[in-house]
Amino acid sequence: MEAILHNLGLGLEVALTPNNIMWVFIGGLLGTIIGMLPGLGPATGVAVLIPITYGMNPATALITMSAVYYGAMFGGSRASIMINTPGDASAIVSCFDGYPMAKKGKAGSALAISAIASFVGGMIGMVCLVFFTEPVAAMALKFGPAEKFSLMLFALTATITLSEGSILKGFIAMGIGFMLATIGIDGQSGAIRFTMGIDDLQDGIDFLVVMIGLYAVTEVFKNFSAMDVKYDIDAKSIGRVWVSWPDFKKSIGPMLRGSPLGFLIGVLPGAGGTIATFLSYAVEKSVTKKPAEFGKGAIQGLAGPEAANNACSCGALVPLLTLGIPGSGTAAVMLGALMMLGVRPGPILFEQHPEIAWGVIASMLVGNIMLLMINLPLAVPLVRLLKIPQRIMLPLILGMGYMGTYFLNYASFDFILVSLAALAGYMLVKLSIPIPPMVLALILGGMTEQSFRNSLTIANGSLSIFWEQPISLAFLVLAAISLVYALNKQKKLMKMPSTPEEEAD
Amino acid sequence: MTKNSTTGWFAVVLGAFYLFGTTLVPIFDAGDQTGPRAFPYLVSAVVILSGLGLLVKDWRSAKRVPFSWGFSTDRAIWLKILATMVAGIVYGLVLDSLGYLIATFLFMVAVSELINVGRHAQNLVIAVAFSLVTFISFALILKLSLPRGLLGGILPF
Amino acid sequence: MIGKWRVLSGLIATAMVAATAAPALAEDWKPQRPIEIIAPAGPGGGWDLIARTMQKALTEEKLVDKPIIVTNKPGGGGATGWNYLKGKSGQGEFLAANSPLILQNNLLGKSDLTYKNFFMLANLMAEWEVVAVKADSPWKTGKEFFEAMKKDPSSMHIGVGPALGNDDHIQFLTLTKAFGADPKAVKFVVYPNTAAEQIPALLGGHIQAITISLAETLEQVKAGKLRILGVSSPERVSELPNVPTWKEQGVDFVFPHWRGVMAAPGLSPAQQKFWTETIDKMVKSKTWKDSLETLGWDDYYTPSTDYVTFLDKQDTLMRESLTDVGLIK
Repeated sequence: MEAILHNLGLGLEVALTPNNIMWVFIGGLLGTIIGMLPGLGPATGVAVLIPITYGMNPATALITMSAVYYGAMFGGSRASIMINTPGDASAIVSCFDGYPMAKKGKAGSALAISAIASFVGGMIGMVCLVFFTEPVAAMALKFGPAEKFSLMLFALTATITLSEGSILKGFIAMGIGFMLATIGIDGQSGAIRFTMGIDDLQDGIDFLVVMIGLYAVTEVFKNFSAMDVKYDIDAKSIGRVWVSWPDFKKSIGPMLRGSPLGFLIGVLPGAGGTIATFLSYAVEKSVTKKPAEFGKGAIQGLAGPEAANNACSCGALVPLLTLGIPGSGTAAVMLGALMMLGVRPGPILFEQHPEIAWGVIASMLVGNIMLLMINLPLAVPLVRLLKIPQRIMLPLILGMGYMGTYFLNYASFDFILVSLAALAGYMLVKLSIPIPPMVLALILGGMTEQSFRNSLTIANGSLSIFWEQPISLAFLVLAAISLVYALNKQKKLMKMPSTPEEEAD
Repeated sequence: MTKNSTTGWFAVVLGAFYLFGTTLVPIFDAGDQTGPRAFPYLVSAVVILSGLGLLVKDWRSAKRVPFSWGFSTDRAIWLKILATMVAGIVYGLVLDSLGYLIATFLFMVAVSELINVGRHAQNLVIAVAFSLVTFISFALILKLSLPRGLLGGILPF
Repeated sequence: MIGKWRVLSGLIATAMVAATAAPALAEDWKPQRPIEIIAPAGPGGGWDLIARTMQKALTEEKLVDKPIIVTNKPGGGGATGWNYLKGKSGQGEFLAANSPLILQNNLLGKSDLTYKNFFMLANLMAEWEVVAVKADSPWKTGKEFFEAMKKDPSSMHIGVGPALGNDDHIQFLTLTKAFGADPKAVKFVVYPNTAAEQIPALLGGHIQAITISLAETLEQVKAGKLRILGVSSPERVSELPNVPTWKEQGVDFVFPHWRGVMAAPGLSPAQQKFWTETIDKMVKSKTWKDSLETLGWDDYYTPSTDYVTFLDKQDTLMRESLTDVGLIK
């Protein structure tokens, strides 16, 4: 305990030099801007920065890169809220209620609460990181493929049961997501699957491409049918970037629940941010008294996941601190840059260079405060964008979407995928098939299958591994409970007289 | 057809198609015992069963509201969607040869004309501004690689 | 004017007889436009690092007078980037990083591209492969480990990533065979996120060993968490003087995980000459040597002709191991 505080003090000494504070600001601002653009996520942001870091000392370099990293996380949800286009996978959930809020003229509150929730999540995550690293790291090692598979199954079930529409349609959506995820070369056997002879599909489908199609471009299609509909926006409230007291009060619970949840899931290597945000959304929707408001601009549905996402990025530092292993793709890029500066990441990095490791942790505390200060004023010009008429905004959204697609893989083949995904998205909406289970299954599909197969390899073919491991069993039970709960709810709904629209599901 | 029966049939057909695809996946000696087919089999089972479930639910349902894609009633919208998709695909096909600036300009003109009907001057300004601003900020400032294409030799930067 | 033509046609005639192009013209070629080094993967990985290291060395040593851009073209285990390079036939301004995957992709039928499609410029560096176990595990040597494997292959699970058929996998297969166990019975557990998943899985006791490159395990070994059973280098590596090579353990197996650089196909002899000379100067420069040192990479410079001979040999070796286990039919 004393050692921790001593180390934290050492880190603060490094983080609070004027030079490092300046780089945290520059990195945070650059990250926010890059994160706002569709297709450009934290990994690109950090990569763009690598040449600049050549001349820096390793501590400053890592501090700058991590500032870009969490800057991009703050920025990612800006685009979700404003144009329904998530900057990266962990910002998808911010679309669910953030964008409806913007359409209702509450973009200012949405942007403000997302910045505040990100800040709260980041701060709670940091505190957890400083005090609970050791026990949490020990827990993470117990997580084998069986536990991972069951956790993902639970995340998927929870998303299905809490999506709009019938559970059967949710399962169909999940199936479509898995189908897309299995296209390409199977890493385990090298077999080429479902490519229909198209070489460009061998590498699989980049879920970010599909996401840009499903959200940004589909949104434009939806507007074709309602071009002249004016959003119900109050001109006076539009410029105000603040959260009303009742809204804030509603957000406290979600933020306090989302943060520890995000932190714990972040510790597990893999798609932490995505699982954390989807699960936090599911939790909020199941604890609220008014689940019907979710998806129509409920502030809780934005605050919880935003906090979870940023707490998750702190959790992702745990494997880095204890094992010297990157917990996310962006962390891997950062480690690559560090290697070029002659610092080898590893479990003894913290003994050899405590000033680097703790300097970064302390700089994240500083950075969180700074990003809150960057993001709140930045919301003001962003909100003004809503005043641009749709007929001009829609072409710009299309331009950004296709450009962002190109930046993902520099592949023109992806332009075909984006267009098809957009059409599919439009048709799915018409059939009332929920999109979230499909997107989640597409993102987690590869990992779900791989952990399923790895579990069976380790258990020499016996399925019992899934219920013999206590953690795995716990997730399976949770998945079953959420399914039963949802079936019950649907039965009750069926007995009640319903409007023709609801009957269609 | 109702919404549910359309969805049901769609799921059954898609699942069957995928199931057929799964039987074509090659199996090698190496790799794991579970193999590359097991997971796809599970997925097709889930999709087909859910589709059948929806069909059963639909047959039992008392109130059945007919569903239509609106290909004839909303013809203009579907044509616009089709045109946007074609513009996007063509954009990708010509991006490398024409270069980012020209291709993006053409794409923006095309989609603006589709959406912002009739205001040609405004659309030209938007297209020029968008392609220039993005090219300068990404290719020149952030140094991401964008194809230079036809203008490659002429560009002063 | 006429005299000049005569000289030129004379030269061309000589060139045709000698089956090389005019040497007088060969002196002249230099890159005309910005140079593009293609890293056929995303930022942060081995290919990206080597492309950026080349960029740094060539620029700082002023070996070229045009700017150098590193282009990331991920996809197809390198195939996307290499296809892009193939499309630049005859253009001397394009280079790409490569690795054994250019052989393996073709062997496994994932790609039609081979090293024969390009001008193979030089092999640059090598890392070495290891088999690592937990520090408190009962096996101390390769022999003990593979004996245990012979007894009960179903209790030994080996972590490999990101996919089967790569260098890590081939190392383990070759060793299994050399130690007298059955390569087909090995239970491989595939981790698409490589070391980031493999090392926690090993430490958590979910798998018994990993086959991986040395650099990924070095810091873990220094911290006393992992033990390396053997390394694929010809001699012991300086950072881990206590770790024996496979050769010392009686297995004739030296296996570099190399990375090199190639240029577009269809280059003129003048262009080829420019690049062979420039790369030769680069690998001898201080910037290059210092970078290798900081990255912990071994110099493995092999100039163009020897590089192709080396690739021919590697191709045969890999075909054998992959056919043994049925990944090639």
